Amino acid sequence: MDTLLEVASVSKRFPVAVKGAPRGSEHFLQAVDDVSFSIGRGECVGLVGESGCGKSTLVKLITRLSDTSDGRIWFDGHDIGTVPADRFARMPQRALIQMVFQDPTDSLNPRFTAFDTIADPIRRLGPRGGAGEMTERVNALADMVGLPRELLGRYPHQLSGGQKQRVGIARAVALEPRLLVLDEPTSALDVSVQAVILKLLERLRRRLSMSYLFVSHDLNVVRLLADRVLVMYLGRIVEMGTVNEVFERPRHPYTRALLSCVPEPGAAGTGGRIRLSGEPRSPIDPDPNVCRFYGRCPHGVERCAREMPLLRSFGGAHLSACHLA
Amino acid sequence: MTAAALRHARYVVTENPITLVAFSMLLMLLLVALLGPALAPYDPLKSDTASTLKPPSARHWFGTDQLGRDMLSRVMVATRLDMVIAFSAVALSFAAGSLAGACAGVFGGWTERIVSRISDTIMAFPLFVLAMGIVAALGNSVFNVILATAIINLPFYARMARAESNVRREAGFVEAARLSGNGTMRVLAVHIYPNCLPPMMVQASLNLGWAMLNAAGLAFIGLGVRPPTPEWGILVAEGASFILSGEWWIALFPGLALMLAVFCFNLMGDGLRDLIDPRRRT
Amino acid sequence: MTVAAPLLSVENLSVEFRTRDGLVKALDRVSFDIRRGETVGVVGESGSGKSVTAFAIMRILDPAARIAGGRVAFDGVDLVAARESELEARRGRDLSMIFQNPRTALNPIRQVGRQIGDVLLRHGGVKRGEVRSRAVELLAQVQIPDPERRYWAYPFELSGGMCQRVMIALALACGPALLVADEPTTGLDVTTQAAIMDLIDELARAKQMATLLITHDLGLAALHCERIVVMHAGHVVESAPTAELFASPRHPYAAKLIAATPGPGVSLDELAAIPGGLPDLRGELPACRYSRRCERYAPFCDEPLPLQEMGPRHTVACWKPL
Repeated sequence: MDTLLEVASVSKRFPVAVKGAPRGSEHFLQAVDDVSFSIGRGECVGLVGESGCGKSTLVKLITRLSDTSDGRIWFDGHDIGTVPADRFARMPQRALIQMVFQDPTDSLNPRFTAFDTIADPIRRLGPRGGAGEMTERVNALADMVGLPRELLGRYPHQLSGGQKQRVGIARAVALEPRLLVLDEPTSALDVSVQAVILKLLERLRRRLSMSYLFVSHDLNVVRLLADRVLVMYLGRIVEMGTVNEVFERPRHPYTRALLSCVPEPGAAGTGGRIRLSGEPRSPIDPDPNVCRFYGRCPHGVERCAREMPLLRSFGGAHLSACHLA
Repeated sequence: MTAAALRHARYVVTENPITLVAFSMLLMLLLVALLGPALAPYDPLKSDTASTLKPPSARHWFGTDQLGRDMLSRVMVATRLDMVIAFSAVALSFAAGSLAGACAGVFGGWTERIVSRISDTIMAFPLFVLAMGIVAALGNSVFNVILATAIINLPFYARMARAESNVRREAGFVEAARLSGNGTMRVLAVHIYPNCLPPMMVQASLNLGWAMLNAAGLAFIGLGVRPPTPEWGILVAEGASFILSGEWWIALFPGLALMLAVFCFNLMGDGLRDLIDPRRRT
Repeated sequence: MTVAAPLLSVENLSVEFRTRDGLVKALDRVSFDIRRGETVGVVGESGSGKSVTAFAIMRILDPAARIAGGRVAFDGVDLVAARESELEARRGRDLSMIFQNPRTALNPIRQVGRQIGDVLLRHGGVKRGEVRSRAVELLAQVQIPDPERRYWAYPFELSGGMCQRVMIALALACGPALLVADEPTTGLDVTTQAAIMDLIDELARAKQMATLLITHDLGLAALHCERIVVMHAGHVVESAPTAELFASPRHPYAAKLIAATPGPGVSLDELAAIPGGLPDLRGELPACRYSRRCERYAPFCDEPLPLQEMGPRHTVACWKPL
């Protein structure tokens, strides 16, 4: 498959201050650690993980809002990782990588009307045109996302959650990006609205031939749209494969625990649940030789504390980072 | 302004009778400031030696001073100068302080250090004393009073703007703006800065009262505005020496006017916040 | 065999809010009951009135709210008619509540152990000297590691999951007969959510405590509740034992809600969308607040809503149930 995005050994560290540490010592929070994966053209890749797993940081790296500490990022054959984040706005790839945000209220400028919000990327990066053309383009986008044209003159506080999210989507697709990162696009919405937005996203993907990176903590939602899925834990990818492989035959203990905790209507009860004990390990100065999941993992042998497990193949493209899988 | 905004404004003003009072007083003050000389019954600078030190009467509502000038006219005409000084000083302070603070909040690093140190230096002085020093050094003029008052109020705006822009820096719509191709300066100017302003408007309103008191205080001690220009501070200063001899009206009425204006600005602060904060709208 | 009287019985509860744009009729004749030891879920989307119901039961509604009618019978006492002093005595002791955002529901400037201590002193009849040890016991019961040390922790030092455990300890300190849980796990990770819900289940079983679980997550309610009450725009549309509700929902909205919830085996095309939006609760409302969005609407739907019995403890508010 033709690769659109290639991420190779990407890491991101943040310097932190640690109480009680000797003076002059440096400490780092390892938010993303040696992550590698790719997204093909037209593919939808899901990224799941819980809070603190680094998916938000990874998203910022891919959309070039923040710089990597290590590693390379290739987009459509171009190395985009080396251009600093604050200069990326002028690169031709800026228009081709866009994002839909989680919180519809936070992601719209309270002083911009819906029209202004959708028009902003066109004004900054789109082809030059007159006011009439701009209105036409914004109207066309509003129609495409199912936003009634009358609402374009409204401010965010006058719109419902679903409507605000549509504005966010219209803004994100205004420049017809090749890669659209969706950061929990429906988790702030009601279930009835969620279904509509998810169907819209699927329709748009086909119509505009986009690739998606769909980030979510809700495994049921990821299952609906994604072709492949990546599971992250404490900054590392612990499992990746097609949706069927990972959801039906999970190999990593964390993936198994995650899947067992997802509530399903009609399920037989909570008996089969894998309970994780304790708190996650600290992401500050993690020991590079100890598996990040060691300690909480229901299995766990002496080797797990000596040698960091790397992603291994279990047939085709199904990979898992565990010594015992 | 849209119909909804007007309706909201009307609601805010009528919901709380105090807000209504404050806005009415402000309107009255503005009217007097604008039309002062036209409304005043007598020429404030014209002395009438025949009727000096007359107490309040039907002919002279506020009485006359030691040169026979009508106090009412003097107080009314002084309104314009005091309002001009207060509004100019606050506007200058607001503009400079908010810009510096917003830059400090967004860029951090050296920008923030410099702005913070300057703010701290200004705040290390008793502010009125600092204003005195500035006017004494630069000379007595209305402009210097405005400048001094603006300088001593800078830190408040700088701090507020820094805090507001710091919070907004991480907001989703700011990231979205960067994704849309806005460079750092544009993001600051178009997206972050306008959103920092509403909470600072309330501070501005409260500041108006302080600015006015500051100017009056400077004039009272002989700095800045000089007689015979009518200004409330000067009028109070001139009248102060007559209190003991029983001519209480020369100092009282300008003092009352000053108090009323400051009171009005303070009350307005709350009302202004209700008007501007979009979360208070349904 | 006599059926025990329910522990909590909400009867025709109506709540209105005074706002600048008019009267919002947030709840309209809401009725359901909970027996001792039972776990009942109240499920609905935003604006359905489920949180308002919880707050109305606890009598901690916003001052702009007014209970316009109905009663809430708890253990024989009508909480709507009760005096504030009586309510204060009962809250924390006989019925208590846990809230959605655990960090903000705890006092940020008071150590968590002491907050538990406050409840014990007020309602638990515990002597001053024993308060600390009792509080540490409670922290251990909610599975907080190292409870002796965590007694002195401030909320900001604890993770979201731990704060929620503290809140549960606070709520359960005096062994109430009813726990009202308002979206207790929204915003928490799935693994933490599972742990917290399991904890609530265990403690409820151990103490014979009834639980009222307010949630928008149908899957969560399915897993932990014996009965589910589905709400829409201030009305109870259906109330049934969990298995029955999922096997054959009788109200069109309940059916749509279930069909709109993603789960294994449901593809994107099969996911139902519910057209329209919530009706404006301020204006004139039709008898059935779902009627304008319902594809089964018929003119007789504008008659005042009936409550149809579909089976034991299974009621539907619909003229044309499925």
